[in-house]
Amino acid sequence: MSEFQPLIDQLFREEVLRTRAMSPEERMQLALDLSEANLAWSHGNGDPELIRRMRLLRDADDRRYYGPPVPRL
Amino acid sequence: MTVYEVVHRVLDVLEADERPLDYIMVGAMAVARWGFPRSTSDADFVLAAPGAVVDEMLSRLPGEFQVEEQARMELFTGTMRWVVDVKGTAFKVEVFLQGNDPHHQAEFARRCRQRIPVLNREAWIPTAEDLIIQKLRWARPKDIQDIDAILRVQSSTLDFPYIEKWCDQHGTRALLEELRRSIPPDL
Repeated sequence: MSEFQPLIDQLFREEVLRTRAMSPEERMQLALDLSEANLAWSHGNGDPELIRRMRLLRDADDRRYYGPPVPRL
Repeated sequence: MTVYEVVHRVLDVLEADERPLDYIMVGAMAVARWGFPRSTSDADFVLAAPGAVVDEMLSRLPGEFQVEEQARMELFTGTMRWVVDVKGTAFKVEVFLQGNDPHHQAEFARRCRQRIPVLNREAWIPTAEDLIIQKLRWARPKDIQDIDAILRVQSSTLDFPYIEKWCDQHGTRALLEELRRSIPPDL
């Protein structure tokens, strides 16, 4: 087991609890918002706050499956 | 056209008063209802209708929607798939035909109505149990991630006898149990 596994598990647990606390409507809205932000981002514009949330979620997703991000030198 | 407008326009046609169609919205939107919200580059719909009706339905979409001329045979689902490009955006719409499979029939019979406030309307989506059953059959990496998310978020609210019944028929029970075991008991 990676030394980071307990941290990954903890981050994931927090994400699950946050998601459970959202209503179904909020979750579907967030999926649409993230998709719109992703699309706007790919066109070189978009709501900076949504793009920030999308990056955070994507990074959380990366950590979940591939471990913590490796600092770039 | 925004993602919201794309989904809205498709629902307008699917739920037109004069010709409402039997459909379910699947993919990331359905997963978001039951599991983790994630971004997507397409909106997916399954229609319980003959191919000719799908062609007619697609022809009623606004002019910005450009349907690829040839419907494709979808290997994963074993049905037909229509890909619709939307002018001015990379976001796509994909329309699948409902299969003849008994579970596909059950999935439609159990579908549920979900309100989507940002669109100010409702849409039909599959239940969490039917999403899990279908995704266990596909079992691509993203399907496994989606199942894992739904199991964690919905937890003990799921109708496991129903899921197990279909998994036994599909030969996917071992994978279901493996995924259930991977979830901490206190979650």
